[in-house]
Amino acid sequence: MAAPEPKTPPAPWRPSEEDLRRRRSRSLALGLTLGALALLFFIVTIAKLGGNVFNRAL
Amino acid sequence: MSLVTHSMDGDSRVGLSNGAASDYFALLKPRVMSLVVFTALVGMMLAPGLNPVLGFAALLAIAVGAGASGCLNMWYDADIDAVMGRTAKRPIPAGRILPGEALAFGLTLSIGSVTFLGLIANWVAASMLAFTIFFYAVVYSMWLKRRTAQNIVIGGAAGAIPPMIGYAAATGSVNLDSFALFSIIFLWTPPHFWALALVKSDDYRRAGIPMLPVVAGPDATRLQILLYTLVLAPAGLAPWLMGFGGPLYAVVAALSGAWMVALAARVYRVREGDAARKAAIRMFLVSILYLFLLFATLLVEQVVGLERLSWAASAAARLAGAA
Repeated sequence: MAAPEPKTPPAPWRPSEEDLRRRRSRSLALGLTLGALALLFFIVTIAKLGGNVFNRAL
Repeated sequence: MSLVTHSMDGDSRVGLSNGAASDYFALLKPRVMSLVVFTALVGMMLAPGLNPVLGFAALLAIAVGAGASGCLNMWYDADIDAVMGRTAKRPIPAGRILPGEALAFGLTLSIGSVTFLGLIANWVAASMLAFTIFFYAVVYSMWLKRRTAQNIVIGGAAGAIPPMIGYAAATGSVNLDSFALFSIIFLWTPPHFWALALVKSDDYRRAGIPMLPVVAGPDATRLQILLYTLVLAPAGLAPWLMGFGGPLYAVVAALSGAWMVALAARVYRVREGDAARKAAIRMFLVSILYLFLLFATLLVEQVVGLERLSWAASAAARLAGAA
């Protein structure tokens, strides 16, 4: 009886150009959103503090 | 927006997230979101002493909250979206985003938007936003939509609350003026959606959604459209009668209200063939224009200061002069 042929492992999955394009668009959107949120939190903090930001002992 | 995702439908495959940024944006129902932002802005403009920076941030929170409720709606309704021509290309039924991803995205945005609005504005507005998300995602989508022909009548409240949230974000309370704006959108929703449902009734029937034309038939729906429009047109004059809409608003609300009634009467009268279909589509499109005109006129009057020419303001000035 002949020995069974060793199974070849399946080829590793490689993202297509379309997959890469979608991934890039997600990454870009996430980066821009995080940056915009950081800026928004800063501006809102200053707006809420208003004139009180100067009202402290120096 | 995890990179590796698991399907919620019992399929245990692990795969790479396949949605583009535009698919996630589509989950937020951007057209509904723009209407919410617009009506919330008008509600906000009615409030005295608005801080523009905080007002802008509050509008952003309201927009994201509205988007989150749309995302949760798409997550729950993915099965019926798949069998309706109008919605089959949405990201979940089209297979570009897995249901679990949409659920996580919607919940994250819901919690984030409510918390942000509470911190930058006040917790009255934040509670109202949380209630709106809950009402749209749970009461409307999960409970009413598949059970009763009155689904969009009651569920319409979710789309009508934004002007009250806008006002509450600026003041920490609600008043009758913002409630009047709520009432206009609430009364506008049934004739608007039923006009669409008349045209798409086959889609709704196939999906098993008990919309009024499916349950009660097109003629009963036409009568309901006419009755609601007959109530809506005078209700549209409420801002003028209550004194926060000026003369320009009165003219626009009266003329566009009369136009809506004429269109609803045509939908009621013309019941056969292509002319009936065209009448319903026209009613649907003009209803969007109607709501836009009312709120845009209020906004313009607030910006230009025309609301000071309202009869209520004139009467107050006369009283002050007499005193």
